[in-house]
Amino acid sequence: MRDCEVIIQKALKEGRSSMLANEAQQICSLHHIPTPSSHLTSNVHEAVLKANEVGFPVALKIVSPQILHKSDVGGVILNIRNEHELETQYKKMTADVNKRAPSAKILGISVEKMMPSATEVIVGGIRDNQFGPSIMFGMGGIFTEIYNDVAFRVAPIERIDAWNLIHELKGSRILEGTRGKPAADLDAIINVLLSVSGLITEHDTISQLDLNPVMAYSDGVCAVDTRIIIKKRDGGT
Amino acid sequence: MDLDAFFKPKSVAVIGASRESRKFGHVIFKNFVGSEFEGKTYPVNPKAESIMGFKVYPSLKEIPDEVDLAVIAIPAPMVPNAVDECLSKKVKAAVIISGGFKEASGKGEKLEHEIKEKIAGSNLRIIGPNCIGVYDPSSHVDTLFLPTYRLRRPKPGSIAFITQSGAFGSAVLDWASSQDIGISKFISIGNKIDVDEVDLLSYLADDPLTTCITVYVESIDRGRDFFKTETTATEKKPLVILKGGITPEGASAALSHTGSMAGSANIYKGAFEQAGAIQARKVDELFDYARALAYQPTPKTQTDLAIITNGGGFGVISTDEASRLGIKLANFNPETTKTLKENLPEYAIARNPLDLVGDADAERYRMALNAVASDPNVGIIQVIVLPQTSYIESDVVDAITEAQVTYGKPIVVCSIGGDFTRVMAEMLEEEHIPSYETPERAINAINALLTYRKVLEDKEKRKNQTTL
Repeated sequence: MRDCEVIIQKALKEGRSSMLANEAQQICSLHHIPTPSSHLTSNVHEAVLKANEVGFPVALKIVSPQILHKSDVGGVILNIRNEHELETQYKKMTADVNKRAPSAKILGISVEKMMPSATEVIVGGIRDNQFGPSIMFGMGGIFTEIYNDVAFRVAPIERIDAWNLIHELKGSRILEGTRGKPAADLDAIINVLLSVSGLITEHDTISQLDLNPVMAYSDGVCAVDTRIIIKKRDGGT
Repeated sequence: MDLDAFFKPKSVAVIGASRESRKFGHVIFKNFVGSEFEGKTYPVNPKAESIMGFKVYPSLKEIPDEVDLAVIAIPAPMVPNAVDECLSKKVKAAVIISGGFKEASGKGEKLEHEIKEKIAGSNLRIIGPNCIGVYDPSSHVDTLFLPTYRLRRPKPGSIAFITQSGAFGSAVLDWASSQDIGISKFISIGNKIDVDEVDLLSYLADDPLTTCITVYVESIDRGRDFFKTETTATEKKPLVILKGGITPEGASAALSHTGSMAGSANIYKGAFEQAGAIQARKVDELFDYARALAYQPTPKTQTDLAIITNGGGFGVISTDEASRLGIKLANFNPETTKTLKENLPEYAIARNPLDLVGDADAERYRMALNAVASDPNVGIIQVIVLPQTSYIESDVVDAITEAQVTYGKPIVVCSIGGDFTRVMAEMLEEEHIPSYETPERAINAINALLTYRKVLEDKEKRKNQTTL
């Protein structure tokens, strides 16, 4: 917990309101939330080296404190299958980002292992005006957008709350296995919910966080994209 | 927290008691002196000398007695002064009926603020302003400014009702009275400058006269406290909440996906669910659920449903609704089936839903109820009585009541029709068997009982978890 706060405090001192992807992943790891293996690289040679280390296919993501919506500036490229593609895409991303966000300070490009697709879920944390630290669980993609298939709980939660939360969703039947699809690892999802509940309860410097999507495999889960919004602790309001 | 002075005051002062019969202050004063209220009532009004033969006091301090409760019904700008008088008289509780505060203008908001500052740190507790206040049929405290010929008062009962909206509250009270539904305590909280839903929930959780609490709220100002109080209250008795209004607050801070979703009613729903409150989505559900929860026991380990009817169609619709809600229909024990076969006419079929057919009379209901209610595979029973046949007399009520008392399993009735149904429903209500006009409403009330059972079960699991 203290290690986490050190990372958050550093970002706050730098005047940032969100965590960089690699910092967010670090925080996840400290709370036992699985994330894809990834490395921050500063040039294409390093990227090739690291891509071979984590294994193809890989994803590239721009790392910059000024860029919150990475894909809007061409800062996310998925499913890169080999070295050749990697070299081309790396250069393309550098050029695109330079053009679309010329004033952004680029810390590097993250090379991430591309995780196989699966049923996607969303886990979130928020500091609500009324209820204080709270967590959200939702089915990914259109289930959240169109059907509003999400549910909330006040943090901290217990295992039984996590269980009830998952089963409150209409989409929970998908997670339990349907139409020949295997059941998702509910225990692993419950553990992520408990971790996020812990994160949002323990760190009042975190104002909102999204794990979106979390791939729900039949054996384990992986938080593929993480966003953590931070805020200086304030005396009142 | 002690809110007793609101419900059991030994003496009441009505500030703004008036001689004009249509004025709120007059109606309220009359409520106290014209009822069986056992305490003393003092009218306060500097412009009158006597009201209905009672001596009027120009201000609180002239009253030669302690005052437990002050009911304030004077124009808003004069209220802070009345609060000062309450403070120096050491009044324990005040209900401010007057409107014209935060809900009306910035000026009104300032007045509210002024009052809040005055009572900070004092022992004076305030309900309101902008509310209709308190109705307690057992102590006859009645601050409702609506005359009894317009708003009939419900009889004493076991359902408590907290409402943020006074208009909603009074309409429901009038309706409850017409349905012969009893109330333990009614509180309209209005702008809630002091006493709010959190305080009342915690008070009512320990009120021996209340077996079920109902709440209508639009906004909750202390969400986290409400959540905690709710969690403890639902350990003691069921709580049914109807939340009006979608909250826009959260949406402003939507930097994340989670933030944008929290802007809706989602987070309230989650918090209610987690705390073990039962949520009503519509007005009629609030009391539909409350009546089942207040009158009937919570099902024990067995939760499977048996349906007994004298008409096929209603049995089918009930089964459909039960299936939609995930309520399992019981498989009758072979012994039950045998008893039923032996005692039913050949053209009736001894299965669940059990159709006693059109010529069923109270005796056939009694036989079926005994067989079904004693079946260990049955946890809860819906009895449908269509009283249009000449075979149904009001003695069917006795058969139902006896089965409930003998076997201790929850029973919910569905009955629809004209005058005779009304009489029967009232008899059932008197016996604390909830009756509903449609099969869907009856099944949803059953679902509320099953939900509360799950709430208690989850609480038990939590306890075992923490002791591990």
